[in-house]
Amino acid sequence: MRSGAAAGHPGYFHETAFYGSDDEFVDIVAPFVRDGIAAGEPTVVACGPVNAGLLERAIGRTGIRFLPGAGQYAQPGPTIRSYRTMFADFVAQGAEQIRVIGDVPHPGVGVGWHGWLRYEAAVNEAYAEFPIWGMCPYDTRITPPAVLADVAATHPHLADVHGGHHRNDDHRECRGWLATHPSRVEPLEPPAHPAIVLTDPTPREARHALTSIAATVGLGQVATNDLLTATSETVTNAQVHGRGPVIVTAWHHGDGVTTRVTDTGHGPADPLAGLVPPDLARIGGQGLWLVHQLCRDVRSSCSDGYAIQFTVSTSPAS
Amino acid sequence: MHPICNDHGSSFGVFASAGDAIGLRGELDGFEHERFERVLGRVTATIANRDLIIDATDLDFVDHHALLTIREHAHDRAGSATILSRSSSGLCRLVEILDLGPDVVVETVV
Repeated sequence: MRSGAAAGHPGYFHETAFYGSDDEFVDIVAPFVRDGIAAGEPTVVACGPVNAGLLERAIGRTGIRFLPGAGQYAQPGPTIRSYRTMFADFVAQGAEQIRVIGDVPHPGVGVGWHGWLRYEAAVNEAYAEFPIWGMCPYDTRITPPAVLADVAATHPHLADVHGGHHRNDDHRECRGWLATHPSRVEPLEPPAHPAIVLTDPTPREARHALTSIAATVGLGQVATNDLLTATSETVTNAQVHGRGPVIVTAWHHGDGVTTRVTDTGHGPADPLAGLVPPDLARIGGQGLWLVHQLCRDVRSSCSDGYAIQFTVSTSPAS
Repeated sequence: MHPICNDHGSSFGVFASAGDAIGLRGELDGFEHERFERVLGRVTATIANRDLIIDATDLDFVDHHALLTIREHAHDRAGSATILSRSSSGLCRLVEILDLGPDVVVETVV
């Protein structure tokens, strides 16, 4: 049986909380964690060092699984997959509810929001099969107002500093809301000095061109495999589902290679494609899932055609 | 090495490997999906064993289309597919991310 505000709720109870001081953070989060431990529920804390320290000073470490926030939230795709694996393990061990506190990255801590906005929307479906009570606290002192508005739209539930848990009236049905979100049509900046520009390549031609760039940068075998897989999957998608011409542009910088694939079509109809685990029962639809798992900073835009861009560097994304 | 199927203009080839193993070479991507599905269907029809062994040690590239096709064929036979692969291929990683186990298992060949 599930305890607390999520009692009787089927699947993922996705909640946010807004705090304006360290004391407010502890007031919201400490009871959530303490009650989870008391109920015998697996309780996971994946916060940055400051918030993890605040929580540890307030209630200690006993009964809590601490995960390093920066590691757990390195890239949206791998974060979803690793959480799903962990949740499945807990459920297999008999857990009836799992509590999770996570510091989701945003521009206030120096991380781009594009991918994490989609993460916050996607997890409503990606974690729906598990009995999770997940709380995503946001610090109003450093989180930009536009991000706070997105957070409100993506969380069906809201906790307050007085211990209350409410249905969030600002929550939106995420697919429709995200389809018209300004970030969906935000053009990607032009590359300064592309190493290659290919027009209407086959996936094989694109892979062979990218192989030489990978060698120039000194990508290892694993990263090169990731780059070729992501390139092949996106070019195949553009050629099969998009509208020509398909342009592949790639450039290198430091220890990485960034690739952009554009076509003049509308892109995937589903704004959450690639972040929600695909249905493995059917052929196709897995390519974007792989791209999000293998690459960093996966971005897309539906401005004047469709563009998807991803980066692979010497250290793999997952 | 005795080729048992090698369509002209294709970026991949299929050959009979040791035992009942199906050998693959070249590159398999989404543009070859339908052809690979057709060829694999013809080849697996000649194999009595329920479980498939795919020798991918000469395969330079494979994408998710081909891996799902292999899984479908193994599934249709109520068996599994073991893919023999070089450690550098990244196949283990793809099978893990696509959650294809235990229907599809990768064995690394040195």
